[in-house]
Amino acid sequence: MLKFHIAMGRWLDPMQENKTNLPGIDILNTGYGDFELRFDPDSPADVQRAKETITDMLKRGYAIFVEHNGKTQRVRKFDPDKNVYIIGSTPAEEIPIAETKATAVGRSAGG
Amino acid sequence: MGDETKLKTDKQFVTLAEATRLLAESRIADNDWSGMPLPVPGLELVIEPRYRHQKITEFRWQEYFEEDGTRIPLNEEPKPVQSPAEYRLVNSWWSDRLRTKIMIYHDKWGHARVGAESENGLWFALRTMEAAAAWPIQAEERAQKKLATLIPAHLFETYMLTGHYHEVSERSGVAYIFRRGRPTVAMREDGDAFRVLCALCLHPIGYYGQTWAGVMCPTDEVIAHLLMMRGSEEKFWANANQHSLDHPAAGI
Repeated sequence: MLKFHIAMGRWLDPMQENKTNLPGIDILNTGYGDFELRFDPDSPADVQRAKETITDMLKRGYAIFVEHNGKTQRVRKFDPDKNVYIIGSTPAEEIPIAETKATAVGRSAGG
Repeated sequence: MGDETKLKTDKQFVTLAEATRLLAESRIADNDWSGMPLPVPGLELVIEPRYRHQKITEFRWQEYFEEDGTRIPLNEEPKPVQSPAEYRLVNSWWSDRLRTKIMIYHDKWGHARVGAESENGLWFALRTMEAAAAWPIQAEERAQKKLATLIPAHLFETYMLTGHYHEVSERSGVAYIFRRGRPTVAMREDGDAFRVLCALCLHPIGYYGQTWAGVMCPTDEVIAHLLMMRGSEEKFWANANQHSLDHPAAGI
């Protein structure tokens, strides 16, 4: 855990119970079940790290889901310049990463 | 465990579940966000073809230790390399009528041959219990906490009591029964009754062949099915294997 904390810089320890309701991503994980990454939207280093993580996940085929208007939506793209998840083709379908908690699921192997 | 991964622990021995946890912990710093599948002795590990650690499927345990320290050698054979003289599987399907898997092979001259393989739910259940050794119980508990935030309280109670609950898709009207450790059953309302469509089997990252077990704990898989159904139903159907209810893999 310490290793992760250092590696993630200012990212919060993912296994601490989230008391502050910070935005971030929950990731389904073999060892942890629900692995929580949280970031402080007021910290530029945290935001940068979040951007890199989200970009990396989408590049590697993770499905990211967010809640929008009471519905679960799959993220289509991520705009690192505006820090928004894109779930559709209109500006109304952009969700700032600082205003939501997302859940990421690794690629499916079928079954 | 592979070329680049070594478990870091002060323990001399770990259980498979502890190894899963340690492996996941050690891989996070290298952006393996979903952790890493753990081979289980005697079971075939099947992983998503684009997953970057493909070599993990070739790993074979050499030995394990009983709690009293007795060493048990395993000597698992590596995956056999197929020679050109052998038969090549070209197609297979489940016969509802015969309750058997029918397989078509080609020999080296291209002649077709037929084979049959019986499967039953009991063997699936027994092998799934073997695979469960790789799931950390803490992971399942955390996954259940996560699921509790995604569905209404009364449905979560149903899930905890029975291992399954249902939800109707707003988009398609299809009703789904999400089940812990089993494929999701899809049904459509047909007058006063429900018509069962199929069982949808989908495992993030990977699964153990001839079992109902994925490399993630069962409730993580329920969450994956639920989110895909809600957020990307067509992809859920496209990515899942659709099992006939008569097939043991359906887990009915």
